[in-house]
Amino acid sequence: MGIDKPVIAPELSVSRQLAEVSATTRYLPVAGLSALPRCDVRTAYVGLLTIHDSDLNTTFLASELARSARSNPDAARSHIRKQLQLLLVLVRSVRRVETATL
Amino acid sequence: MIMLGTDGPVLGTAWRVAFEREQVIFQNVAPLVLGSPASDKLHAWQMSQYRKLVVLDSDVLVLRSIEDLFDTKEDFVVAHHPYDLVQAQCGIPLRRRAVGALYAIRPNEEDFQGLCKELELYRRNKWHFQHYGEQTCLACYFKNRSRTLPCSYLFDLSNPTTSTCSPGAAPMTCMRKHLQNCVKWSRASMSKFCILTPREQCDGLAGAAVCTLVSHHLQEHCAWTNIAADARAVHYKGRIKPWPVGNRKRNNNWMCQPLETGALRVLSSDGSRSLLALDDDLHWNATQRRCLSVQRGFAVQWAEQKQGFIVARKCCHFETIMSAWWHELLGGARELP
Repeated sequence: MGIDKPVIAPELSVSRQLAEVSATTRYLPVAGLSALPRCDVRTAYVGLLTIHDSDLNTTFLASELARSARSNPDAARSHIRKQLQLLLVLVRSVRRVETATL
Repeated sequence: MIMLGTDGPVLGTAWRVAFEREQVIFQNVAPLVLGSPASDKLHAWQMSQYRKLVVLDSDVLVLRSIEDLFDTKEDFVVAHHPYDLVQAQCGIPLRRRAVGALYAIRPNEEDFQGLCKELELYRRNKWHFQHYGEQTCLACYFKNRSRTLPCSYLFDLSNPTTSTCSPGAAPMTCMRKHLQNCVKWSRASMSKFCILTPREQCDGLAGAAVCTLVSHHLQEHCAWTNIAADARAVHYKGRIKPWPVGNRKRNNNWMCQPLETGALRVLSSDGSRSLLALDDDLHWNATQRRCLSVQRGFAVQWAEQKQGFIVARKCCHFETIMSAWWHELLGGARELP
């Protein structure tokens, strides 16, 4: 089974964002994150896999994904695959230095 | 290791297994600011059951231990952005400017709320927020209780002290181009990125004198040849990513595709093949038409022996070392759907 069709957070135009500046920011319910397990010393790193319907000038990866998601679902899946590869290699690089030297 | 994700794709079994094998815990979170995935990193401040967290962007590659980040005393310890100009707007000196790709934090609700409030200031300038996301906000919010790591801690592969602007470029070529572009464009850019009122307050924060300072700082503190031995991680910043084909920055560079077979090797005079050190650099020898290891002087080969030497100048490039290493770590996962 591969990657399912990406679900993109609904677009919120910049003008709407600006209108919301003074409104309440949507905060995450704390319960979800505080429920995470405790960890041993020195084992907590945080990685991110975030997919938004971004404006085209945010981070390079987000922009590429948003651009392709609008035009071609297959291209979007390919971009998500690349992001997953980035994350996996990042994790592996951390694991590697935990047990070895350069 | 914890991976935060917003309403993204449902991972297939193969990917989930690959991550779980590395002891990754998944945690879904809601988007914090729709349209700005980078801002979701602020969620890390809510994970207050942890005393210290290290936050890494996905386009970072760790080369040496970063465990010392867990021993830091400051509330915010962050990697250095040696050529950022916009953080001058909140009075951060050049040597302390931050890049949001790697930082250590002390999670707490008070800072989470404070950062969310601060972020609203930066969202007011659409152009700034699109290009810098939460980065300037973080740097400015913590400016009085942060520490910025040296350039070597997270080396930016876009750093103009390398041949990043043009494969095979002679030393200092990219540095000169960077300075020229900075002098030409920085005032106009700063005006667009200005978050100060009135906007004229940003006028003195760019221009030839500022660009010259940045250039000196880069050469003095951030040149790869001087800091490679201390590098803890590298950052595939911006358009620089580890795949050679489909990377528009590299113009569909199919000649460099063999880097996908793994880490580069050097052929020693005794005929043995050994791994090229990650703190090495590559140099193009026009006479031999070979790409040579700067440290060892030997010709560099692709991972698979049958692919032979690097014979295309455009692949003889600092970035190639790190991209080939990235593919070495990816290994069989390149086949995952």
